[in-house]
Amino acid sequence: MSSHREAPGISKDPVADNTDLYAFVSPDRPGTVTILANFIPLEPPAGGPNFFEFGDDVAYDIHISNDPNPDADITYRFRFHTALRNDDTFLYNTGPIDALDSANWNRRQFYSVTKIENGKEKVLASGLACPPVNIGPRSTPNYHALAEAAEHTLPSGEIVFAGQRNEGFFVDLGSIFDLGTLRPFEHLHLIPSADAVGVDGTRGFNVHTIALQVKSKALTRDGSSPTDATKPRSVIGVWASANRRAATVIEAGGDVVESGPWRQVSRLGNPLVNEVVIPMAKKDAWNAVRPSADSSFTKYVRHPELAGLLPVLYPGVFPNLAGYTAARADLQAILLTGIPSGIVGGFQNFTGPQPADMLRLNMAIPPTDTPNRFGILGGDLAGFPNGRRPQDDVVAIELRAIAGATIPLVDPTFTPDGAASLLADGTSASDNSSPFASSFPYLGSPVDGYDSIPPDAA
Amino acid sequence: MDDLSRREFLRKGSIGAVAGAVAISSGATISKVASAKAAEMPPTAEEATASEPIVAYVKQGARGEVRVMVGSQEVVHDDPELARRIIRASKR
Repeated sequence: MSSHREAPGISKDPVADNTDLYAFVSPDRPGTVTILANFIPLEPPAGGPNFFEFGDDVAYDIHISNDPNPDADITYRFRFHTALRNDDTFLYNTGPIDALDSANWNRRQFYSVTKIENGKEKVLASGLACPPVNIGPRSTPNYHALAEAAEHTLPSGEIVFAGQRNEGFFVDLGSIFDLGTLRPFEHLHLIPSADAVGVDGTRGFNVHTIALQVKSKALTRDGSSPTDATKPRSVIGVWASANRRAATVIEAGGDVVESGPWRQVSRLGNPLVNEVVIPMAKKDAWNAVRPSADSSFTKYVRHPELAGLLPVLYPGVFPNLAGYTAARADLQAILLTGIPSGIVGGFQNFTGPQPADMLRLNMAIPPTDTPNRFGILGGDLAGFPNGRRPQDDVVAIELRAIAGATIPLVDPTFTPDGAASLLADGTSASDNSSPFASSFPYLGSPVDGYDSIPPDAA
Repeated sequence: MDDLSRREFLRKGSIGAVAGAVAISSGATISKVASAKAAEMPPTAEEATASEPIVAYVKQGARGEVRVMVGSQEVVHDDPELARRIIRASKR
């Protein structure tokens, strides 16, 4: 998965688990950037009566770096608190929820947004309402209106939303983690079977999304509007994290006392890095450090394990990749430094030589009306790895890159294997349970519990 | 569940929810008053710290390092005597 349950430690702490991160120039408001940070992987929609919610004990951060130092220059911190209306019921709601202040809604969540810049913290807003989860036609009969009411414009100009959305990431989990099987190419696998269509393993599940839309010029280092794609100041690095207090004491009566500074327990920049690049023994440590410490992980990007496995799992399909032993400067650029000028015509998102796993977005590249799901590999400079849009097929893009499709960007003597530019797991955005929205917060409406169908009953 | 009992269920639920909301509002008011008083007479640093739980953590007593956590802060003490006293206090 992109970063769902991607490390042993965080897989046991889903409330703090980053699952996906998106950063893109808003297609309907091009002067703004939208950042979506998803948490809580694979929520079954029918998970009541204690439905999924953000953690009151977690600090959720969205970080922006706008200079060559990958430490955060701007951080938006989201803190949640849960309020019960009725201590005497086991129910999430005692009647239809038709508004965010519905007396029937028993367990509500509110949040604050704090901006941290130049070492100073400023609370931008507090008491912002989350929408309820999508329960079903009797409990949440007009879910779209509830979610829309939970979009808040802050006095400082940002638009925020925090609540449940449909899982927008699409991937054939069942096949990929069954010894790297890609169903459309199964007849070529070391253990072959008939080719088949892909199965979206995240279909039908929900996530919790923190969405932030902010003016582009509020993110540049000098406050200027990014209009020139060649300028370094047009590029930002984005990453998200979840943090817990250093100390937790569980009292005999069940009360929990937390104390000490925030400790990062999960982070996410580019999709799939901790998932399929970092070795299992290092994954928890990777989650605990900031991107500025990524130099110790560079070797796993420059010599990815998966690039060595593909020729073994698909005998005879990747002879050129099998023979390529040089360090993967292409992957280092895509994932850790950004792509310098002169490699992809009309494009750069280079943030400097210091390796750091961040989504890098050149904000001067305008959004397109005809996005290509393969992003820059498909000739669409507005897509991954220029930031990441919800519809970008990051599984196929990264599979192709690791298989060698992007090596010629840095080594013209290399000829990619024919399969490298065809790799895909057979899933697409059309497999999602809910379509993406054309406006903020862009991810589709969550699947409701009543109408959800367990996979083996479908 | 027939129509009558379903309506009764929803009605009871709503009453309960309103009662809960009143209780929460009362709590918020008391908390606000307390905050106003606190603003008039700001607590000393010692008083503020004393009102919060404090966690002391001795990872390697031999090194004499004691990490004391309070609120969102962590203070690291290099204090072998303090470490020894905490270690002694940990003995049954």
